[in-house]
Amino acid sequence: MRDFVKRSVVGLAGALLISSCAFAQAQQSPKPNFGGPESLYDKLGDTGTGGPAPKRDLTGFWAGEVAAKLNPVPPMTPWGQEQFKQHKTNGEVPVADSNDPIKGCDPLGFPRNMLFMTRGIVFAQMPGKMIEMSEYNRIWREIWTDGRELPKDVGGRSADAPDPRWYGYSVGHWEDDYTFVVNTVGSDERTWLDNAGHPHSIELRVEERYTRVNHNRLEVTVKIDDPKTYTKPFVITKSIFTWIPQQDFEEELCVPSEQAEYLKLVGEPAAHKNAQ
Amino acid sequence: MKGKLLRPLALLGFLSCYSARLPAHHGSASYKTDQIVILKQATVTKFVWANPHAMLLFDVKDDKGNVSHWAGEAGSPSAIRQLGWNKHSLQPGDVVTVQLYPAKFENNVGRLEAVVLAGGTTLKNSPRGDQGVISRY
Repeated sequence: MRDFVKRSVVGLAGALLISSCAFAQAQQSPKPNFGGPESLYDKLGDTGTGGPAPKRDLTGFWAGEVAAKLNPVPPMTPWGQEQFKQHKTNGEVPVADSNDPIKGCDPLGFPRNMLFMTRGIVFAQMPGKMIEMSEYNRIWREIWTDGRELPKDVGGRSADAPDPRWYGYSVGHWEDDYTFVVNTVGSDERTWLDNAGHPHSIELRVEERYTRVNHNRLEVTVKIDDPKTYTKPFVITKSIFTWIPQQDFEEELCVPSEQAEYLKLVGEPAAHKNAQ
Repeated sequence: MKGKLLRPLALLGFLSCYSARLPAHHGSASYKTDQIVILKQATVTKFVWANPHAMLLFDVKDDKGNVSHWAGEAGSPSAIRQLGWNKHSLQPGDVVTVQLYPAKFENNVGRLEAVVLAGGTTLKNSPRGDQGVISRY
């Protein structure tokens, strides 16, 4: 009898546990929020449409999520798999043991900067080019709109071949009054595609589509085409950005000296048994 | 008897639910993300308002008066500012309660969950929002 009561109580408690977990998960908002807003995007919430989008104009400050939600990558080529095996991510091993380039505050590079640490972006339009800036590390990309072609043979052996760049070479054009399309080549192979350590090659070509749906909403699609690394092109993300009413945001940098102090005080001790 | 049975279950339930909601912080490989350690009467020795991680260094005394030194990491200043922190939130000498996810090697370091100030204010830490890449890890 005592066992029956015991089993009943445990069973009831287990059922309550499962249902309470289910309830807790069901209460989550579409924008995950663990304990409070962690970005201006979360804090702003639904800002409404703000009215119609102005034509051919992205100028201003926009808030996004810290990390974009990513689609699965297609199967990698043997070369891509080989690169991938060499990448030790912060999710798989302690930070101190990873070889993620950003561990030492190297640049995120493009397109990773459009997939991670996307809390804030800024556009400034000027004759012949669009400048896109990121809150994180305060970097910018120049996107030429003067009709020039993308450079060829980036990283090639010829004397006039341009060098690869952390943020590549970009050109852009308005597809219609509300969609700005950017094509980029020449991203440095030292950068990772994403936090999962997926690689890319110098053959990478990226197409970004910025669609201003209304005054306050900007949808961004990032498409990857890298035949040396992936067996087919794919859309890695479709992200949403929100107009920032105050047109300002926090400063966020990866500071090498402060990161080194972090690794010394926390990263190394957390990773190794006798580090302290 | 029921009380004895239900208390640990309630704790297990709390931790299970909580860990299910815990996002995969990109440095979480170092930490026991299903376990929260609560350290009371912790004395702040240093608060580092740094990028990309703020850090809290503090001391904890055991019953015999032995002092252990701890370090906890938080999110970036821009992330935890959204949760009410600023660079003056904690000062050396402040006595606080620290909740953290301990390192797997139990080296007195951890990922902060929250800090409760002497006046009762709770400063939650940022989860570092890597939700977008959970499925990749």
